[in-house]
Amino acid sequence: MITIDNLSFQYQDDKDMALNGISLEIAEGDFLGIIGESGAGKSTLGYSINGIIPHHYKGDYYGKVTVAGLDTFEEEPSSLALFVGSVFQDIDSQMVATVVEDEIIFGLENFGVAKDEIEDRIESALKEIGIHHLRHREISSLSGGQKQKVAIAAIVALQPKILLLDEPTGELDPKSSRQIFQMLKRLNEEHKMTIVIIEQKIMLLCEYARKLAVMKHGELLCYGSVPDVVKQSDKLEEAGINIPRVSTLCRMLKEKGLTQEEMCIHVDETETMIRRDILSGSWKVPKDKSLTAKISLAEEEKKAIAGELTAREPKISEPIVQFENVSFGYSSDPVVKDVSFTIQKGEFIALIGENGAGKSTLSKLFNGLHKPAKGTVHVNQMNTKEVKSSTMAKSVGFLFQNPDRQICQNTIADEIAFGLRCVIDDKAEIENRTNRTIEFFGFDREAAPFSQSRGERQRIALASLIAVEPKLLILDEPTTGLDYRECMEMMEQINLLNQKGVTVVMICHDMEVVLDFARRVIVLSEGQVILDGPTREVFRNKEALRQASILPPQITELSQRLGEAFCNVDTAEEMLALLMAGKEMAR
Amino acid sequence: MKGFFDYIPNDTSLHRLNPITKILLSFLICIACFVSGNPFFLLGIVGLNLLLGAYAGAFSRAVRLLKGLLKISILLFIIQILIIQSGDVLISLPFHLAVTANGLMTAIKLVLRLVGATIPLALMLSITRMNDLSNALVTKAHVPYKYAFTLTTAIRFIPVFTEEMAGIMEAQVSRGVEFDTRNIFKKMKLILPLCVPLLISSVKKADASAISTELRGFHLRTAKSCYKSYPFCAGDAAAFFFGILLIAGAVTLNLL
Repeated sequence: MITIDNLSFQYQDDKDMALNGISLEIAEGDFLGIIGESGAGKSTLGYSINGIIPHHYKGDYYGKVTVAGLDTFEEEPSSLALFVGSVFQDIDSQMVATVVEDEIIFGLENFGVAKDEIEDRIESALKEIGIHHLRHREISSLSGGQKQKVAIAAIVALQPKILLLDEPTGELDPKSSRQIFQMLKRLNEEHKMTIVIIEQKIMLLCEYARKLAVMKHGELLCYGSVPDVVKQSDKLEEAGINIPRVSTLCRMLKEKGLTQEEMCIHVDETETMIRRDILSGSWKVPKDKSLTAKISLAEEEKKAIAGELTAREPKISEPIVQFENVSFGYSSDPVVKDVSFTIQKGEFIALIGENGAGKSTLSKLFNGLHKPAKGTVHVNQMNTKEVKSSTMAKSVGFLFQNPDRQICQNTIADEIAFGLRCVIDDKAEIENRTNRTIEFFGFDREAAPFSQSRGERQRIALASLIAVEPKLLILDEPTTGLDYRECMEMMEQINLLNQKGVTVVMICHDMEVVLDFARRVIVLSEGQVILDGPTREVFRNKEALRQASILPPQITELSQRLGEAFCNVDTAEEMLALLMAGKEMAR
Repeated sequence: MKGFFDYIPNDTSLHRLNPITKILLSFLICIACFVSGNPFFLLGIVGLNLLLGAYAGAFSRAVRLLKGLLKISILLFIIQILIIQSGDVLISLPFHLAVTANGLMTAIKLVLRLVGATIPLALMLSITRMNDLSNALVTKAHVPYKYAFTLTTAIRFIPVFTEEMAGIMEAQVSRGVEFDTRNIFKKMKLILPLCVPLLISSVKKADASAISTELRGFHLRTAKSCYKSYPFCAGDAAAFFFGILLIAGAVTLNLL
């Protein structure tokens, strides 16, 4: 269906090759996921399939791409569009209409679909995507997930043979992302539509795609069926991709000779594997659960650091944030309803809940961007109602999901100094702190922030907040849109700050990140706190998680299925240790 | 958050008017405002605007527009009063200034004209689907599709950019930029560096929008592509004559 033959491409005015000798064959009816770090050339590859390259973006082009028998170099993108439908990440700029129905009609009109056929096409596309009830709704009243479905329906109505999607779930929460993938699977299976999706979420790709292509520095690192690719974990690591945690577990078990299973991707098959290969044989529940710490040296080190940390935490707790019966809403309908909690100095808190649960709204109450309609918010002994947000910035740092709203200077040094100038007057001190921060993050001080990658821009935005030395740091989805490596760099930096005593409150959709870093979790549902407790306890509360539409981390899910004996296990290392200890017991 | 031009769905006879008639009617009301020199007539037109809004189920939008115009109206009102110093002195002010009868009259008329002339277009845009507008402009008014699409896209992007700007403001306030100050001059100075992020995101959005419409066959479109038809009917004629009547009324009142 798609043949890419030794394709290389270099954007005009760019000194590096964006694509380097890519050869790829995509068969009819395939479901291919393309994954890789940001800047690996994924989008460029996508653009060369739908003809945007070389027709919209110019540059040096070598090789050949054929789509449904057409050479993309010869054909205009709009004629290719009859075969390849494209959906992108930026939802709002894809929309052309006021009402859903008109959005679908737009493409049909353009491609000259016969007028008596249009009504049928609209109906079937909407039914296909499961948004028939939205037909007459205004687009501005829809949620992000619904809008993205409309965008896909508008393309499906054109009945292309191939559907190309460039990070369509980039701005969506886990629940809507999953819905999008379920829909793609249906289109693929029932209508034999070829699906090519560029995506960062490896778990979803493993679950729904049939093939994976891994890219790095414009080259194709590996390509094959999902299990075959995931098996090459060293290559994935090289490409900066985290494999699913159960896959890591499976690899560890195989290394220790506990199983012969080559690769597990889903929780289901891992459970089957463990029951079949380990639990059904000579295995007993170990009496001493602390055995778990003794297995690997790395694990011991981790524990030692953790122990030291707990020791360092002040014995007498000191509240830094107090919410007392806080309600807030944009109209008469409250979005945050009667919320109360206290946060102590030095805590690392994750705020979780599905989109629309009120997380972002709640976070803006921390620094007075929103003033409570009812109740009071005290942060660092200041009542947010009485103090201006810009004054609070001295002690409360706020990192937004989109770093581009924060960055406004021409060099990194200026950017960091700009934030400092807003809160302190001493010139020497500004200079001093700027230099210190640049050194800490390892930035090139004269580099232009806007030309950096997304992950780097996020770090620059963080750096300019850190320079102010806030006592409390609010992070609104700090890792969204970042690849795995960038995400880890970001989180390590935040963790380091937390160890230095900065209190961290983080909104996060990635439960693995929450498990690894947060020590306390607050679960929001429909504007109310439905659960508040230590991270691992929260992940065991099935009822609350279901209410908030949150899936627990893979290993937690697995250990719950395996039964009571596994009740403390949340990481692959712990699972391995427990399984090995059980083997030992039986002997 | 809803923008000023977001579509308000309903099925009134105002909604059903041809998009071109709606635009024409709002222009006719606008002309009537500028022709008329009678403050009572102008006041009547402001009332008419609110009435039209209420009829279309968009009364709260009309009131919001009115509130939005309040600040600039007050500013213009004061400037006008201070500039025009001829005529009978009503109230003496310091620095040899005074509120005069002429000044007061002109200021009142100016403000009423401003309000009466701006609300109709905004109102009509918020009860018209953008696709209907561009299609009607292409099929009836023979505007090239490219221009019609540019116009409607510009209108569609207003709320997107408003939201972006609000987000930028919040991000900047959170890092200590004093936008939450009451001092308007200080605020103006602070707003400049913000144009950079707004500009960059606008360019990105425009590019993304261009790519996605291109891939949906934008260049293949012709005037015949349009699926719906937009005939003129009795209601349109009535609306048109109503607009003409308003202008005639304004002229007559001036001559009396």
